[in-house]
Amino acid sequence: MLHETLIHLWHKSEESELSNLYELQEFLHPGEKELLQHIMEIASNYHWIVAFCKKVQQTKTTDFGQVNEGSIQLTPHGLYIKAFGNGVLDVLGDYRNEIVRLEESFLQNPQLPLTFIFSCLEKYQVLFNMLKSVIDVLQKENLHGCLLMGRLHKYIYCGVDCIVNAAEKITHSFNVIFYRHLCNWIIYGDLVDIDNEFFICDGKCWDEDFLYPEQMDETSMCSSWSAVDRIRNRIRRPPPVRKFYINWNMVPMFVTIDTAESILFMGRIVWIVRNDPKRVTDDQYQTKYRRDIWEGKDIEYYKKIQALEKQTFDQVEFQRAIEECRIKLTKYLWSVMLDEGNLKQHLQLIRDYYALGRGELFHQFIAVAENHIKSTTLDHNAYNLNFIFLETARKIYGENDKTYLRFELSTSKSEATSNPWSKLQLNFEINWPLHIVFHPKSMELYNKLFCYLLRLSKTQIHLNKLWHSHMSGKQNIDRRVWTLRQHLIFLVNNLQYYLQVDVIEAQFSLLLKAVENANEFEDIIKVHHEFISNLLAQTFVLTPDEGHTYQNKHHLHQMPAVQFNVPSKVYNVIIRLLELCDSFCVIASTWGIELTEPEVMELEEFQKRTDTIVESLLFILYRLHEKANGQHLLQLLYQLDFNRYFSRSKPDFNLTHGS
Amino acid sequence: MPCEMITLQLGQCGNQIGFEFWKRLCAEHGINPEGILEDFATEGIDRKDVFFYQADDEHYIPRAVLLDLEPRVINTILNSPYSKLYNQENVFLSKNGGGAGNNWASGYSQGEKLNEEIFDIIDREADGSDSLEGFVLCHSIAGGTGSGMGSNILEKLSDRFPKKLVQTYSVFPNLDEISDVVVQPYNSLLTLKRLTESADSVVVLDNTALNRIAADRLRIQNPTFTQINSLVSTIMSVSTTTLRYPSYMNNDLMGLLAPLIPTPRLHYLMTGYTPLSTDTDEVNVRKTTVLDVMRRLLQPKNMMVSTSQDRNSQHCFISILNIIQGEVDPTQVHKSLQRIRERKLAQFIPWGPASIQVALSRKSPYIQTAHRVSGLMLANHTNISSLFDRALVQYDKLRKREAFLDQFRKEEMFKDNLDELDSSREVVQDLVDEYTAATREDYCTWGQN
Repeated sequence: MLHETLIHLWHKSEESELSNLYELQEFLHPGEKELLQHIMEIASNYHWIVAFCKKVQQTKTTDFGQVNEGSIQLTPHGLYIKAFGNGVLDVLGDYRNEIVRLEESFLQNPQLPLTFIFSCLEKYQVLFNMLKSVIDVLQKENLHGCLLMGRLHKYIYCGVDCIVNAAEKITHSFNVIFYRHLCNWIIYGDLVDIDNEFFICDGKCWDEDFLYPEQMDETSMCSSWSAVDRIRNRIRRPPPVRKFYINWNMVPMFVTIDTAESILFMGRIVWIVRNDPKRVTDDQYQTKYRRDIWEGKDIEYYKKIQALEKQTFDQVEFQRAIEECRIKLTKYLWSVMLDEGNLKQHLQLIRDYYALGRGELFHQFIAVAENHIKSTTLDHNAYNLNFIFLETARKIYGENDKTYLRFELSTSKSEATSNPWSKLQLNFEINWPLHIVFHPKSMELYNKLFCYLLRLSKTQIHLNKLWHSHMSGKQNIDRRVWTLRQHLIFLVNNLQYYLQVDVIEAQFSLLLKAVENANEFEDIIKVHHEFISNLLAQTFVLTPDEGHTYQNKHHLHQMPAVQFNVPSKVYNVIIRLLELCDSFCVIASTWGIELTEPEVMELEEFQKRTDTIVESLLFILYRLHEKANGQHLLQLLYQLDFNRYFSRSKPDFNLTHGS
Repeated sequence: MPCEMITLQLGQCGNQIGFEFWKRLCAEHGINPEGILEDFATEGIDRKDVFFYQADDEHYIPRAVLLDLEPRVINTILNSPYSKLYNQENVFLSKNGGGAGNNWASGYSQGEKLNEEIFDIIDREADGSDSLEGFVLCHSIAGGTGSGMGSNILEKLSDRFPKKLVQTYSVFPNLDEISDVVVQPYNSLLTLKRLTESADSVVVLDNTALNRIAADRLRIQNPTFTQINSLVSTIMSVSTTTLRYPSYMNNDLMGLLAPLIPTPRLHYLMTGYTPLSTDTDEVNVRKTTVLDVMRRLLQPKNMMVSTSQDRNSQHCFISILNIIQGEVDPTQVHKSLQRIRERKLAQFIPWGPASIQVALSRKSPYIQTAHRVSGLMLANHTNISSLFDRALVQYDKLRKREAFLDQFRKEEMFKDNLDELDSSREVVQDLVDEYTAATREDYCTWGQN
């Protein structure tokens, strides 16, 4: 009887055979019968578990989703479940050895009581129950991939020796798969994960954070693109970046959020470096100077991470290994950005072109382009404007400086204004891999600043021209006219001064200093993020986003902390001021030395409007400065009120304090 | 290219400072005395085209016209290593070579006679430039050629090129020493009329102040012409840096002058420069910060104009532009200005908004200086009128005695009467009055019936 029992413990048998066992032993004592039932229960648990393991092992990855015979549940599939199966079978090895030993003891001593078997096997009951419940849960919740690891992980700390041992064994079996995924991702930026089991997912598309609007259209609108449009873009857009993301549901609980972000970030860096466009286009280059982000030490680092699979999860060691790799990667990318990408030169060019550091170029450009932009339609404009831009630049800089060739003007179609000047965009040819730092959203912001500064510059030119026409006659024109003109020149000039020196120049110097002190790629992203946020907020182009939080440091893409499409209150007043200046220039240039009656009325109207605008500008600056980060508002206020002309006439502004 | 400038250097003084100016520009742009770009300067993004143009053989040639009625200074230039720099066709020497005898009237009438020849040169030079913005005239107001012929050319320039700006660098005589030019007060007054009526902007280079600065600040007891002129060339070159280097502001002369000069006649600019040092003076290097530089620029002792210090007067700044060069921390600029504002270190006009503007400008990479930061101030200050006041007093002294008028009566202009002198006096007096009026709150209604 015992022998048959053992066979049953070993082999899964049919229901009928099992009942045979009871029938044959009809002389069993009721107590013995119960005992036998207990033993059989263990056996059936074992068989159930084995059957499950066998099933998952046989499931081919290709038939996932198939409905298994008899059950409506989806068959769990994938590498992790297989690893689980293997692990479990490995754990069950003990049980099988136990049976073999029992068989041997039985042969030596046929009088062995049933209780002996039971006492030997009883301990497996706990284990089997645990395994069963795990299997139950993973079937019910359809757990797969990394999640399984997390589910099992808690048993390592349950305190029951046999469970701990089993959990460790199974974990080890998971680890082989997990660390293979992890290593491939971190070291090679590869994601071989057909069953979507890893917590990092391949979006299988380009990351929209790094796509320019027209690149997004490219796929959908390809056919409607005319040939002219294609020729127009001389500047090539940077290569797209593949989208990878974290499936937060899949992150095992022993991986912290920060570490998970770090891991995503690292693989993305590797992907970007390995997909250097230079490599793709030039085969020679590929073989000769194949870019190696690990600098020949990829295997060393691979092994370092893989070594972790030998142990159950150790937070400290895991993070240390990941961090070690991250430092290697980020330093590499940082040096590539600085040396090959020429980061500092890019920043200088952004200051020179987008922030109008090269005033002489845009000054002349405006002067020449102003006639053109009026007369032609928008589509022709882009072509003409580029021609004027390049001609002007060539004349000014000659052969010595060709940086202007890296820029191109285009007219944005999105802005819903009729003024072509506010649609003007500057496209910049960005060196690989700096397109990660200068991503489309930030370039959009630079373009907003560019339009605004250009607008200001244009008004300034108009005012200066009016000054010149008043000067060149040396006539004594009406004093009220030049007083107003000079008033406007003062406002525009000091505004420009504030923007260029107090904001742009100051922020730019802070940025350069921060870049010098940076030694990781993440620092570059961070300081650039701060730069662009401050720049847009302090120039009043956009309202700062007070609620903005800087995302995890190890994040490839950071949104600047401004509210897109929400110009600040100050900005609106400034635009009104500029519009006023423009119309004053047009009208005042028609006036003679002596003003006629209607002209005097017009002048008075302009004077009144100016007073209103100045008042609201000062008021807004003063009211807003008390808010957090309002120091820059005070700065402009002091510059405008340098000789206390305004505060004298408006005693409620107490501008002498609070600096 | 935009904002091209043609310089006209007239007379002994004008040619001397012009010569120093061009030497300085060549050094700053890395152009050797023969007009060839030095090997180390081929990468620069400086704008040589503002003051130079390139000949077919790539030589850089100054847009300069050299004019004189006597050959001495021009010959010195033509015998210097820089002789090949200039376009020889632009050097004009009067054939009789006798000069103007320090007589404004003689210079003026000779200028009138030589008008066509001179304007042939100027027209050709103007036609040769792409988009000329204006003329820079270097001269002294006390002698004969620079003042007399200069006056004539000034009048003609504004007639012929009404759309071009005319800026002058005008040297005012040293009043601390007894001049050998006895008719200096007449010459000055007559020239001042033209500077007021025909120039768009006059940078006043006051020899009195320059000599005093050389003596006090640089500790040179008897400064030579060269030493004084190197001060002048520094001012001239720095005041044009925003035109000659990539810059976010003040890219053309118009943009530079419009905020500085609110009314047509109040266009006399004072300058100040710090820190000053000579070639031999390397010990006297102080720590320089933006605040130091800006504060020193506001001190009268650093001004290149010797204005009388009348404590009771309400004289004030109409406008200020500081051109700061060197290693400036831009975040410090606002703080420095704020300090100046709080301590009221600069007194401004009461009739309109006014401020100190700062242009952070690039510096030539080819010239080494001992100072980290240096600054030039271009200021429109009502106290410049004390200079004109002095000219009036001196003129009146001479005029009362009817002294030395014979020399003038010889010339056509003064043959019948001395109305021209009277009208000049009136213009200058008017100018003084207007500057005084500009110190008051009601200036905006001044001069209106």
